[in-house]
Amino acid sequence: MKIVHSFLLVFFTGLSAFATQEPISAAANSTITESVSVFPDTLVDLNRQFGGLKSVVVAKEVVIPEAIEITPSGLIILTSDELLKAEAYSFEVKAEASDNEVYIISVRIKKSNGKILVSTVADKIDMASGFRAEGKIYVVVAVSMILFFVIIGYLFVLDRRMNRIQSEIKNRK
Amino acid sequence: MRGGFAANWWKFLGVGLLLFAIPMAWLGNVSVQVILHETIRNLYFHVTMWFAMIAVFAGSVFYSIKALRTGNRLHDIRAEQFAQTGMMFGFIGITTGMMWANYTWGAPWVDDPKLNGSAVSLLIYMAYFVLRGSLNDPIRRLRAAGAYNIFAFVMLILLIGLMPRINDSLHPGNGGNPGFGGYDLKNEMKWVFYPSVLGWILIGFWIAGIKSKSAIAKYTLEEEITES
Repeated sequence: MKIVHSFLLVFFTGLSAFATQEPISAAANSTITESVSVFPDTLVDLNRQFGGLKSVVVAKEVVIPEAIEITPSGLIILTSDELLKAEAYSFEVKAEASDNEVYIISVRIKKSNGKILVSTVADKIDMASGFRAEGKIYVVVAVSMILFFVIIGYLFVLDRRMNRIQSEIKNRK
Repeated sequence: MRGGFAANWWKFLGVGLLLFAIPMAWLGNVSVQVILHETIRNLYFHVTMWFAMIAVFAGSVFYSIKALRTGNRLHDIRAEQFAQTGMMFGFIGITTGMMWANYTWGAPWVDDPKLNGSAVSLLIYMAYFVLRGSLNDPIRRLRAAGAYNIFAFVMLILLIGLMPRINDSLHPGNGGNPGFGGYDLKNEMKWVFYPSVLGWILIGFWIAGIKSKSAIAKYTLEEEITES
């Protein structure tokens, strides 16, 4: 394993930079409800709620209500009350945490008796980061590269052989 | 290899691109998506097969048109070999797609215009080989197969390029779904995806070229036997 690892590090030095870093403690999952009555106001500070969020992004395909603004630092801001017409909204944002894992935070905003209730739930999106941190991914890389090298070598041999046969046929004529 | 590096540089380019793209497909950063998780890496393997298939089928049409224009049977043979190589990529695309769909859409075959379109277009190409096999007269075979090949390629583009965009499809870039730019895909994924598309296209042309050489050698020897 170590031989493979070091082989790959020698030949694909640049690649090691892209390998996932070792994860640190994960952000905790929790549900918190807040209520506010003044506008515009910060509804939730996701970073304070979950802790250790590096950046919060709204995925391109996710539609958020017009009256809601989400900052990269994790603030969910309600810009005006009037735009928030429906009784309830729910959408999801993605947050990259300091452990290099990505969490999906489901946000639910509900109007109730003139107050705004916000509930948030964070869920980790499972990726094979542990597998990568252990360096086992290099085994997969090595195996697929061996497969590739053999097939390509075989193609070169076949190509040369066909060229030889072709010229033999030509020379005979 | 004949012609040296000057004639074969594109083969080395294809290999070189994949030497970069395959390790990066495993090691590179990918977007973290809810349903897809790590299977998003299939983008570098499954989708590239379809690109390679379309390119190789386009090569087949190119030789068919050449054969129709010149009446040269060697071009007809090349067109057939390119179509066979395209079928290989198509079958890899279908099987890898079924694997992926089973884990992300819940079933290996869902009622999706892109899936049905690709299946129908592969059937159309199968009919191309049946047509070739059914005609013994080489001149007639050249003309009929050449004309059919153009039809098949147009149908392929309509069925997997146009129809899924008109109807609803689960595939990205189709039926109101945004394409590469619209989804939450990391920009750096393009730096692995495009090289691997080009790499597999070049490998596809290379395989088809070797197959063509072999088929032409067989044809020349058979001609010699019938002449003598």
